Amino acid sequence: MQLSFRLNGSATQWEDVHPGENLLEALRRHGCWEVKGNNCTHGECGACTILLDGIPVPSCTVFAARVEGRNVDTIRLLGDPDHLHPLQQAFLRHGAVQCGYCIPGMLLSAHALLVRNPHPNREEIKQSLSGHLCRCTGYLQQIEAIEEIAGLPEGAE
Amino acid sequence: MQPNITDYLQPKSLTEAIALMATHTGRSALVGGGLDLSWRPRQDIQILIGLDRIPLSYVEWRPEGLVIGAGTTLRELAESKGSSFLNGLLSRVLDRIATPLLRAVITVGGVLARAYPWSDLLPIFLGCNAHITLFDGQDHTIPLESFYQGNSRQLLAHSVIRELCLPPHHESYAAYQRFGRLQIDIPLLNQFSCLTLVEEQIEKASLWLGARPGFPLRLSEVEAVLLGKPLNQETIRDAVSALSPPLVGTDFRLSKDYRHHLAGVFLRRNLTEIWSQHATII
Repeated sequence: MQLSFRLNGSATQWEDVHPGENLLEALRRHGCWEVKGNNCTHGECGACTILLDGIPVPSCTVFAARVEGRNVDTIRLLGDPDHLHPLQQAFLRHGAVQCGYCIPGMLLSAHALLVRNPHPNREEIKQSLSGHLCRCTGYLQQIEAIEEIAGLPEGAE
Repeated sequence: MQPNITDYLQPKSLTEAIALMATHTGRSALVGGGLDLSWRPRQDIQILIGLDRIPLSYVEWRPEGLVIGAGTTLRELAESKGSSFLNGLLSRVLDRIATPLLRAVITVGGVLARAYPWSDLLPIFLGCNAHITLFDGQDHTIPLESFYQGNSRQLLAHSVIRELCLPPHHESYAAYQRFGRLQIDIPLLNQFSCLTLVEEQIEKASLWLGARPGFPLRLSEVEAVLLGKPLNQETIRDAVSALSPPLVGTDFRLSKDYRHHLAGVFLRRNLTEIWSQHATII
């Protein structure tokens, strides 16, 4: 089946989406999701998080067909290795990235939070990350990185 | 990938959805958020009927109560004006279901259609005397309790859930307790209590026990103990004593004895909390 939607702000058309395919599988097949390993596939780890119309959702639980006419944003929305987003830079400064498996999802959830609430408190940050499993850092570094950005003047993110 | 799925249809109205269900009887499934189908793929299904293009995502206060469209996600419900329902209890419960990511996918219609015994929301919806509206070409509004007492599966084979209505509970006090291994886990037992007090007497009582591990059960015998009495320590003690052990069972997560013990603890805590809420307000 054919799908038309906006991917990271650009009009996108996929011609060959299988009706039983989930969005994570479709993103991978179209070269839009670089992580090769399989995630939990149950929406419980948060590693495959994307923004669907600005809301963080696990892409492994969303049928690809559901994105027709909608906005999908992946980590590419924020930046690339040559042009890191301030949130990505803050993650690096705070040592919030080790193996990196969970980071794209965490960054997108943090970004969505900051768009809706530029100055979240620690509890709100923790709540927004509560669907993301990280087995390296213990979460504190990511929380501190987001707090740093949340403390900046509005619009600086 | 679910290779047995051959088509994903996207109707623009409930009438169109019903027609598609009729055309593909026995081999189609509705997709609201789609979480259940992604967790438990069904080999008997070839056609998916997505409900995204039908405007079913809304939360509105109407004269009959809080009306929640079936396509509303738990996240949308928590962020809506409906979150203040039962003095914010609904919002507090929603915040403890799964994770924020999953709450953005789970829909109220999915909760009602799947009706898993471990649901956090079903005991609350049932305890609030909710009504469900089903569309099969025309709307049918029935009490949620009757819906589940009848053959809900058969009804859902040829109808779509349009919305849920929670009647206003202006004079009521409510409390909810759940026990789970981790915060994001399903509850291993939950209890919802809702009381209406008039002139210090309990005029109405609605008590439900869920994840027992069966489908939520109304604690009618305990309700009978409460009716007409003042809410105090003695009444609460009598209510807990009226809980009978056969209400709960054993599964691989919890034993019957432990569930029975927990049920008493939850009931006592909920009634005590309601007593405290009432005392604060008067």
